[in-house]
Amino acid sequence: MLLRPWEPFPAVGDLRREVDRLFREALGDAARAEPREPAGWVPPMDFSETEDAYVLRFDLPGVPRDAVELTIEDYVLTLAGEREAAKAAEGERAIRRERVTGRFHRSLALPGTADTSHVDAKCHDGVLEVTIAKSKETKPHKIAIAGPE
Amino acid sequence: MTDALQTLDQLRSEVQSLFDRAERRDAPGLATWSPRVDIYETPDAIRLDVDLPGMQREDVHIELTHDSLTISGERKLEKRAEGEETHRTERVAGPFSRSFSIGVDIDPAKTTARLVDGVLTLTIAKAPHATPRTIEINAE
Repeated sequence: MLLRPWEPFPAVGDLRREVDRLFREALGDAARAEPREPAGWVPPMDFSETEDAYVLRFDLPGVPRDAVELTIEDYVLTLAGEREAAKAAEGERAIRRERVTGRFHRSLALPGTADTSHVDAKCHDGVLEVTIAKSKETKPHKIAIAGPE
Repeated sequence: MTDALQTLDQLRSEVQSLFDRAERRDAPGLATWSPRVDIYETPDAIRLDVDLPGMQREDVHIELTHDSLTISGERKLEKRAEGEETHRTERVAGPFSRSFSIGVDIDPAKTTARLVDGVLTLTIAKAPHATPRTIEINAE
């Protein structure tokens, strides 16, 4: 290894590891559980609502449809997937890399008025559009107020 | 290590773009966002990948001179339905413009551009005399 973290006082590192171990033992399984893979990036989202549906739009440029996983469970919509880094071809040299790559993950709670059995998702030009119908009962309807003429 | 540096660089450009946006917000007609760009170089070409989600070919303009490249256009968000109410807007929209100076002589006629799934791929050929050549050293 060419580069290693500079540790001026190795004893401090030992102490830290020891404390970690004590905590792990004290907390048991909770602390021993594998930390979850952090999401690399979060796709930007617009959220709007029409009279009969909720509309979500995510920017996912260059992400193929089959690399996106969309799930709804207990009124929580989760969008996850991976955007692969462009592979540099033979003899190619990267000069600038600004585009985000790697795993993305986004979860959001849907309103209780969402009809999660009527969801439509389509992907075009790098934008994923998810339309979730509103349940019929929750659509506003006028109620006539009865009273003496 | 490379990952950490890349993350740091992303953070830096993110902060920069926030400042850029704040500065330009009050200037109508000027660029309001910057699409992200990857640039690669091969011995005979320069390739750019530009994130332009939701954009159509006719919304993007590419201008190439002998030593500079400008990609500009305007991103218009989807038409809202009558009575559609917006709750959250995170996606960028509006006019943009990015320019790059090119350090090598190029062959503008041999430039190709494709826009697929919101990613613009631009391949600019280097001029024949600008591509590296191997020179043999003759024995005496």
